[in-house]
Amino acid sequence: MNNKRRDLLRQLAARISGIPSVTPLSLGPTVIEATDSNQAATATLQNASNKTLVVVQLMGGNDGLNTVVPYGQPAYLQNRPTIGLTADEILPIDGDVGLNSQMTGMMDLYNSNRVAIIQGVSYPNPNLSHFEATAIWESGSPELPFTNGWLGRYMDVANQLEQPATALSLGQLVPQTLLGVTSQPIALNTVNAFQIRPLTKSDTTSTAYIQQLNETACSACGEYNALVNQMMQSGLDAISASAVVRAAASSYKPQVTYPTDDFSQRLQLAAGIIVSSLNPKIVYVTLGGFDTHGDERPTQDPLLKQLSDGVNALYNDLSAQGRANDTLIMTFSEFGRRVVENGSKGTDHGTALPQFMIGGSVSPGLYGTYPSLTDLDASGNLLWNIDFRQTYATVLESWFGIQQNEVLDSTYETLSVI
Amino acid sequence: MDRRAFLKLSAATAAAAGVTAYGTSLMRLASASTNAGLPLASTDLSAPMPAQVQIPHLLRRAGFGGGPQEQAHYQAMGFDEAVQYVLNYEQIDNSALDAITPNIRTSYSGSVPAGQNEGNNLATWWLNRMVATPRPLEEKMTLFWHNHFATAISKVQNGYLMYQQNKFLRANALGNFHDILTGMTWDGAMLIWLDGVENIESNPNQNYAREVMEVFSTGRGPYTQNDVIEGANAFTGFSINSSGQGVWNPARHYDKPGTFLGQTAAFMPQDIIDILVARPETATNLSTELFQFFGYPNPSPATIQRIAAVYFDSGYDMKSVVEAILTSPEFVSNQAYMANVKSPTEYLVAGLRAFGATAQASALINSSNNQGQLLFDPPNVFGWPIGMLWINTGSIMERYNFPVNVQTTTENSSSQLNENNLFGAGSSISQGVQTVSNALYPDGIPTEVLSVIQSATATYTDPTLMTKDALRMTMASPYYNLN
Repeated sequence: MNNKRRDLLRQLAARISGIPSVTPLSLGPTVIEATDSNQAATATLQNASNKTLVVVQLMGGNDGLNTVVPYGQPAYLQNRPTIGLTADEILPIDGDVGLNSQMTGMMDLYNSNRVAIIQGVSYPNPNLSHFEATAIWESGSPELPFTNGWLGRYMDVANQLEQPATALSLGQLVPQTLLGVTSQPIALNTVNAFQIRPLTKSDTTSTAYIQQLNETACSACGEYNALVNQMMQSGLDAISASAVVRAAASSYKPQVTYPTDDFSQRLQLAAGIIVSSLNPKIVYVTLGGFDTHGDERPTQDPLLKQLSDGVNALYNDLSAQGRANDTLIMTFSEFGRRVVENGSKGTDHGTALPQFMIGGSVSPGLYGTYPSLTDLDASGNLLWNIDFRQTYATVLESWFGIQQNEVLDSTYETLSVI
Repeated sequence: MDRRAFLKLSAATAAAAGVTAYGTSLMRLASASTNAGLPLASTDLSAPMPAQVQIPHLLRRAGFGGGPQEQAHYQAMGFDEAVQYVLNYEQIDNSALDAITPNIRTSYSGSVPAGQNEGNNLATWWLNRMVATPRPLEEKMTLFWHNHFATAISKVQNGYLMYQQNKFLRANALGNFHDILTGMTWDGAMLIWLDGVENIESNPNQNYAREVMEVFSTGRGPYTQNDVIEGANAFTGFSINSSGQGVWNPARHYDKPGTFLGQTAAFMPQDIIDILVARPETATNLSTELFQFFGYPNPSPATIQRIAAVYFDSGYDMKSVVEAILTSPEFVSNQAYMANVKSPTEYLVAGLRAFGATAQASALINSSNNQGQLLFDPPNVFGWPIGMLWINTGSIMERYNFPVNVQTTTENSSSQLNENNLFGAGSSISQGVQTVSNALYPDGIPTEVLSVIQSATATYTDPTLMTKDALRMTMASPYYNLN
């Protein structure tokens, strides 16, 4: 990381923590200058320009052991006498592991050679706090505090190399993952709400006046003008992006029927945006509810079904639209859960868990080794064998075609997943 | 080409484009900005903000702003007396508001009224209470505690329990932190939210034991995973009785000795609370959270030490702590001025309160959802974000749209905010816009921005629409959205 980047990170840190920074946040590449390594990566990146990453964040800490089930290890059912999945509740991958039987959609994709499962992912000294573990995964570094996100930093680089580079966050709040030093994603909750509402049926001027409001300079607004300027910038971005996103959504015809839940409907919107001329680098979707301290099965099983059916629909839709090879879907969650169930038919915060990578360009199969359920760390948690930054490095280098050290704090061995 | 230029180009060619080229043909009104009272960039940050903006600042932070009458009421007191009036709110009669209750089940085991969504009804009820309250700090502190002890109905699934928790937090809004943390440990909604009722002796559930330290008291730092495990043992034995109250049964409690934060004993739940309340990290953590809520981000360690000392000197009395913040030189310093971003709740409530306006429940709920803060349903135990994290392209669009659904008609024909007095026959558009924007932002919006609002308002001739558009444009401005 160069000094300029570090200065900028400091500025962003100030912004996130609420201190007005002097420079208004801009979508454009106004601050970072291209470095030699940026330029070296340009050629690769241009070839990668149609590539889209769909990130699915499973919020709350997904129990990996009931997702990709190590049913070949006797310790699995011994540790989970009430919430363990029995043979008839597992879709076998091989003699050792299988998917939760709610995940038929994912299993179909696995059987079609479209899924890679990276097993035992975590990092040294895993953090068991939701807040900090989430910040670690989203920032891409266990050394706290790191106040922007790994994909935000990627977008900073992409904005240097190729214009325009767009990231979309489908939800109410922007995840840290997508906050860059100079880049911010377009965020929207629903397409319907993402437009200036007319005051009357014949109102044709509100959009223009609100735009003008945001273009009107503030010559005397004093110390807080960084906040004023950031709001004006967000407003202008919102007005511009609204038209493009709504056009994309209205012209798109899904080729499959998506499930009706909110998560799948967001994936359908994601597909519409991916196939549009907006050609986003990243689309980010979240699925919440995985913090299953109690009554895990009735909570997690339906969530895994949502995940699996939604991703199946998205893949098949993109495939029918000729975009399956250009799209990589990746899941993550802040941590897995403990091996042993607790007294309330649930599991407490744990460590390593599997990540899914789905797409037409994925080299399918199992990666890494499944952690042992008997050889545990001092707290009785799973030992990891793949660092999450290896997954990130793989996405950066093999998918986006940039050097990982543009974004990550060190160099990690990539996986042959893509 | 930067991205915005690209988006504009795409917009021009988009089949369903909603953006027209109209904006470029509008005359940019360039005039010297006059903005009485606002500190300038060169201002000494530690110096007091201009006297005339101190009351609006106090009302924004310790409450939800206020319209012309409310501003005048507090201005007449002067700042010091206004702080005491705000703090000693128990002296203000609130019986009319207390008589208004949310439309939810009326007992723990009662059924939800037919066709009702308890979470939405609670959120609407509370927003309307914030709009109407004569005790702004009481609601503001209840909102603070709701975020601090963030509990979501999406898991609790019982409106009665959520309402009981809200009432407890309101009754103790400026109470003693020892009572508050004890009450929340025994709170029915909390026992479900963080699995206290699932925490059984034979195989403890660590959820509450972890979060009571990380989020509710000390913050990260003093404890280890072993303290989480010992804490979980100490918190075993809770259940909820038939009236929805948390009860602790020693017979179902893990009673073996353990070591928690360096002390060894067979701990009962109250022992853990006692230890946590007395920790210096709790004083620092709470002082910082409160100072950032009322003051500004990243206060100096010296400031926090001073506030934390009040926490101990007063025996954990939150009224003393809040008073120390509101009467501190930092609170009225330039550094505090407009240093925060209005949360979605503050955005909704302040607009309606200043204008004496109302909005349909559905408009309040939709707007809360689109802005990312639906009361009684925080995303997780950490509560909601702060500052610029509230602002993104989607949430700011909602801030432009919500006022369209506001009912601005006031029946009081003598009110200066009555639409006919603002924009009826014989009125001046510039005067009307000035009156509307002053109601929402008494500090004074720059004249060049006011000119844009005037141009927009002049699109209409009907006083109702002109009023609504002036309100919308003012609430769309960055000035209103700061706090």
